[in-house]
Amino acid sequence: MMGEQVGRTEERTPLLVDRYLNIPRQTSPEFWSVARIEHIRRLAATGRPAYVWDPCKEGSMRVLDRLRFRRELEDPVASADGLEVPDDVEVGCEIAYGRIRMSVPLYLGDMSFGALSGVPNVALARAADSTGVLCGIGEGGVHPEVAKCRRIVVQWASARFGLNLHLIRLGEGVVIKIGQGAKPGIGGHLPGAKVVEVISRTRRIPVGTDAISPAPHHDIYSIEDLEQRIWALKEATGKPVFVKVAATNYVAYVAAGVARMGADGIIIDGHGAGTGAAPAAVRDNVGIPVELAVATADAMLRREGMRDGFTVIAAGRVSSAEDAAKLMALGADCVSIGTAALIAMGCIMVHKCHLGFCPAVITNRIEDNPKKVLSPEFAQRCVENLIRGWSGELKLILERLGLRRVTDLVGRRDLLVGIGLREPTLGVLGVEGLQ
Amino acid sequence: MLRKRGAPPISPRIAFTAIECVRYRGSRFGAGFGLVNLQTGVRRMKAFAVSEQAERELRRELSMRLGELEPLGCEVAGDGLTPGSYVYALRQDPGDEAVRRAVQEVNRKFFRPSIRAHVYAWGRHVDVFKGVGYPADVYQLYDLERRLRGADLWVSHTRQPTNSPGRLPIWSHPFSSGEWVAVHNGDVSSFGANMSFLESVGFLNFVGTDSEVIAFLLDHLTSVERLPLEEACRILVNPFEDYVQDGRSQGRSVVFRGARLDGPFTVVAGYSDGKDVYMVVLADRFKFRPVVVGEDENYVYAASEEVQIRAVSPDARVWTLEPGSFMLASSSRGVIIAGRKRLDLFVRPQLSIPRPEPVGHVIDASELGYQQINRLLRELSQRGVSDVSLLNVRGQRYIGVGVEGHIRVRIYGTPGNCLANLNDSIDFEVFGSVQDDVGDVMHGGSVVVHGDARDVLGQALQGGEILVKGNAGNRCGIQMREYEGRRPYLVVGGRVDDYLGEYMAGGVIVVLGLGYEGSDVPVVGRFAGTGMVGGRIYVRGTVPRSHIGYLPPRRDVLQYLRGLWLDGELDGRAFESLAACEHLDPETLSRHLPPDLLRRVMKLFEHKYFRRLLVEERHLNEAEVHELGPVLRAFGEKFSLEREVKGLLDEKFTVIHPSTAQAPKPVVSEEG
Amino acid sequence: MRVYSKRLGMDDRTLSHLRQMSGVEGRMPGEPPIVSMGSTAPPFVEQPRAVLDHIVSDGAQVTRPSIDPYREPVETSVHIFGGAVRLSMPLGVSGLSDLLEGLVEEVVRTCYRMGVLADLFGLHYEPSSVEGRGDYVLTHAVRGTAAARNVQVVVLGDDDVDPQLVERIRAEGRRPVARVPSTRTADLYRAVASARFDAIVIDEDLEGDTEVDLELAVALCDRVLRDPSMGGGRLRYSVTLIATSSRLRGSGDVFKLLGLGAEVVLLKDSWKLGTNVSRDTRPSVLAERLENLLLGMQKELKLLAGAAGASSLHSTVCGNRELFRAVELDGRVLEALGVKAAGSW
Repeated sequence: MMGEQVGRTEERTPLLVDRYLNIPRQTSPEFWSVARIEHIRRLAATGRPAYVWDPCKEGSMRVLDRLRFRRELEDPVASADGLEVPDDVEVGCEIAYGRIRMSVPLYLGDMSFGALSGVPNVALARAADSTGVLCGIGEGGVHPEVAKCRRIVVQWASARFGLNLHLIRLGEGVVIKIGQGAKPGIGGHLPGAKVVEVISRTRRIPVGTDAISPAPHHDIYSIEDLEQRIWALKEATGKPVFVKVAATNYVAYVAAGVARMGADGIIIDGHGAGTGAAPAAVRDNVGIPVELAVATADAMLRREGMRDGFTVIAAGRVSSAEDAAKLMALGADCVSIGTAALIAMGCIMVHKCHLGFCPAVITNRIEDNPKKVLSPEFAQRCVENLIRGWSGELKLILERLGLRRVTDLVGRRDLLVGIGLREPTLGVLGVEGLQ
Repeated sequence: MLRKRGAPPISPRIAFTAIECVRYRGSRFGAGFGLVNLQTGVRRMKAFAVSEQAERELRRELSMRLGELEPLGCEVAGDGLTPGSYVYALRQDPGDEAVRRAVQEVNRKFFRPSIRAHVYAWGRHVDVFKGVGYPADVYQLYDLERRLRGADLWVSHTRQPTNSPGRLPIWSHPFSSGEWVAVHNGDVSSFGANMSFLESVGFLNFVGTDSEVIAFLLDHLTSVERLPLEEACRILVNPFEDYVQDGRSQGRSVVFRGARLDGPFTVVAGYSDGKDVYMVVLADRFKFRPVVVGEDENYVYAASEEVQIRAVSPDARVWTLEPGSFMLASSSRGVIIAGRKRLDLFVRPQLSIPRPEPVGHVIDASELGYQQINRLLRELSQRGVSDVSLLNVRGQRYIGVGVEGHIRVRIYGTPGNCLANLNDSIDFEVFGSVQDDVGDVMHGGSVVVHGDARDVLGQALQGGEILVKGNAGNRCGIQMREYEGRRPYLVVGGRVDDYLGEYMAGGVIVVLGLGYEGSDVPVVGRFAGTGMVGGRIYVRGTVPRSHIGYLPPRRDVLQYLRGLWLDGELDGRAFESLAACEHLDPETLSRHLPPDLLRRVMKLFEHKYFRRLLVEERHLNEAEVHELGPVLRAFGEKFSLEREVKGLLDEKFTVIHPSTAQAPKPVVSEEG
Repeated sequence: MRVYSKRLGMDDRTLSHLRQMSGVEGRMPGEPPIVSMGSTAPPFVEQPRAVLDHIVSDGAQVTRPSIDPYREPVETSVHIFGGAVRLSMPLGVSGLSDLLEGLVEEVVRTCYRMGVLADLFGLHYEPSSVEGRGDYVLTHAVRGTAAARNVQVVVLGDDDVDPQLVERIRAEGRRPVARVPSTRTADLYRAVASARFDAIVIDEDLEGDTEVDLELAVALCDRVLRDPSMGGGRLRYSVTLIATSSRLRGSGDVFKLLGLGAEVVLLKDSWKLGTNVSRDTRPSVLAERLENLLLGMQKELKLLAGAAGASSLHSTVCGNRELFRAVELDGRVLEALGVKAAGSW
């Protein structure tokens, strides 16, 4: 009897993780403060708004946090307790020249199967389906359960991982990923420790090799090359094509070029965005904040007469509905959340994703025989609630601003004022300042 | 396009025809034409001005500095939105230097706060016609067909604006300074450094585009620094350090570091020194931008795409420039520097492209766009048609994209970029050359090319076969992969350029170098197999070790070795023999160094993602003969090269593939 | 008149980063550390403490490609002193005066092997290892032996620039190098350039009344030397501009200073803290750690350059302000640096 047992791997039933871990004490400066994490958790638990004006931004030095709606200065209500979400405020909108309808201008951003350990990918895609938003599936092929979802956006990235004609025709559209805010100018990076058998099969690289996507697309070295790729994908899929770029020095010109070349929208990912793995030297020194990028890109698009119908999606440290509202006032049509969605599913900002040891079982290395696994139902519910609560907070903000439709907010820089920001920054933002 | 001595002058219509072929590369934001003539009369100057008042002021400012300026009229009238173009004659010519300085000063004066006027050409041999619009618009605007007879050299351009607006003609190409007229495709990353350099030598005003900076650099290096043309070109194309061997060139590249270009660029420029007319074509050292050059009896050509040359001269012999090189040609001497070694060998394949009778369903593609072509192919495929022939293909892109089924498509002519992308099952055969990005993310089917292929052939190829009889360009077979019993094969009959098989993870590449036997030109470029994590590359014959993988700069390694010698760790004789070695690669080092020193020097080579490449020059083993035999036989049959291919399996190949072990981790020393 | 006062001390995050590269911590010496999740870098999360904290570099996208430094070449070599000396990377090592003699010898040897400069400023003797390695050493005028080729002259004010001293150094077959505080006085830079020094070291740690942040001093000096009225503008390209300060941390700081016009950056406290050097450190251990640190920084510089679409540090990045932008700096400071505000066209 004993002899038979030896050498056979015990197949175990993994523990389903369906609750949050305690938020650890943060000993070094952190954008995603305990307060911010708790805010998101509350939305994810209840599906109802927690705040109108987000109190978590106090003391933050981020440019976006030093922008305020004038309305908040006049009427600084914080908590949403006791407030009714207005049902006559419309937060739905259409993007990509009207081809895609969104229930709320929220895009769950582009985190790959491999960067996330499977269940989170599925949860995000299913939540997008059930709430009527969009989910970008990232670079690295498609998880089979995600392939069954409709409201996904497939990614065409520099390493072409997992791509074929069938896959790029899935979902609502294709996004050509040129760059990401956490590491402008560098390609995707999945550490070898996380390239296990299933990832190896999906991406078709040897087990244990780091999946380092090339820095540029080797067929896109100029703006006309981008046009070529956009129309090749349109020819293959017949669907809207987006382009995702990092927020960089020339982002305004890049945005104009992307629009002129026939893309249906642009995702601008700013400094401070999350990543599964990046060289610190690049993450900390390259790229500009998304609030500046959106403002300047929007202005350039308007000047060139290319703004109408073209969708601008802002990403990179988007932490609350107020952030979203400000970015829309600066010129975005929609925002994308990455880290915030992970926090909703239980992320506690341990900053060890690249090692694969995620205690919340979100960015962990995928095991054949895992001890614990994120509960799919729990994760999906958290994201759905986050979206609903977010939507409620957005409506409360719009109501305060006296706007009936979220689309009316786009480009309304006049509603904003900068507190303690310098002249050059205010100039780029197109916003007046207060000392 | 450059006229050789004795050939008829080039009419404006020809320049126009060529640029119209690639109209889709540009936009309505700017286009232009430029010419160079050896024969010249009085110096003319051309300027834009937003209003008649601005024009008068401009004329006054120029006259103050240069003497009497005779207005020759308004070439194109302004309309309140677009400035008008004005021409002047400078009868008492004070010389290039004075004119250059005056133009700089005056342009700066009229640039801020908003542009009121701008001098855009002032050479004696050059003329420029540029505006906002498509090439056809500008052609009409200046009435070129009627007004001009022929010229010794034409350049034409259609613009896709990158970092500056497209509302004013001052941002259109060509740019001219002195006796130079230049057009440019790309967006140099050295822009700021180049502007700093030009400021330091007295240039005062920049319109904000790197293309203008390139024209300024050409003018400055040749006319002010008086560098020979070749030397100026070499500085601009910025060859990699280890290509700069001699001390004088090294010194020049230091003093002129601000004139070195970086990033993507293809430059086509015309110039006259009063004795001859020259055409210069520059290609950046990564070959990021396409450029094809060509020649026939009467003319020398340069273009972004082959189809442009063929539109004007169907039987011209064409070739591509090597990365980081330049072509130099003149009216009196023809092609002086080809920009490719052993051009005779390179062009051989294109001289014998067959044209068999079309088979199956025949379609004349001359008036069809790519969407129509693909729709037809999809319909035919659904109907179960097995053979289709596309005739008169003239640069249409995306052929086959999104088409499924088992159909054989024969293409006659020159297909454009992105042929067979995402192909899973279709067999393509091309009786001509193909362009960039063929077979991207191809999972099955085949592509057979009787001519050459250009850059990025078979990127992420994961199944099926690509066979090219002639040459392929840069980044051939990059990111090839294999999975689930599908293994892709890529065979090139001629030679390839740089970055062969970069980041390959599976599949097989074979480069045969047919015709290059006995020549001392390697049949692969540099950095072959860089970043490989799987798969195999077979190159017939010998490949210089320096061309394989990505090695640290030789001088870094030599510096370290010299340091070890000065430290007393490395024996003097060993150091000298290493210093004399042609290549300082891991294998050579391991033969000369004891293990502890080898470990130390290898730190310069290694990084986390580095896979040591195994490079062997040997005969194929039994398994390889068994595997590659059918592929090479098919290659031979397709291209009627059965005889040439027959003995190949017995020859020696340079075999490149990653070693299975990861790079050994460096030893971490403990606290002392 | 400084934007930020000189700051002492280094934060834990940076310290750990340097120690991972040198091999004191972690298991991947010589490699750029990999991190995950969003940046907490200044000036948005952590407090900014230097002008450099407000400067960001570009990521090339769409209009030009970025370059993959893992698989394709990015050249980090710098030819200084008119091309006479080739550094493998634009770095050097300074602050040697508080090290034991045996360790100083090892540093000089290691710098030579790695093709970087060893700065002996503040040392009261000349290490014997300078012999044969003189091209890669910056030595004091007063004590310099014939072995050391690059001779430093400390210049504190315009009247201290002595052209005759410069000639005497040249007559000995050696290269005169000026060392100045990070001053905002353009005339000092002009005087140094006119006296025909081969290189200028701007040292923020030298005391002076006209002090300004190193970033501003470098930018000013670069601009002054490029002024066409200063000898046809060729001058800038025959003088090597070297910058140093004890507050410089890592490759991010180095890269940005290159963009402002420096061609070589000398590290002081950061290399010592990164290699954890002390009285008890064995020379061979120091050598290994310093090599690892330099190799790691070289890779980081390649990553930063490649991300911006630059394949050569010296010709493309040095003095190329177009590759940089600044966030939340005053208009005056922007103008002094020559850098545009982030997001501006």
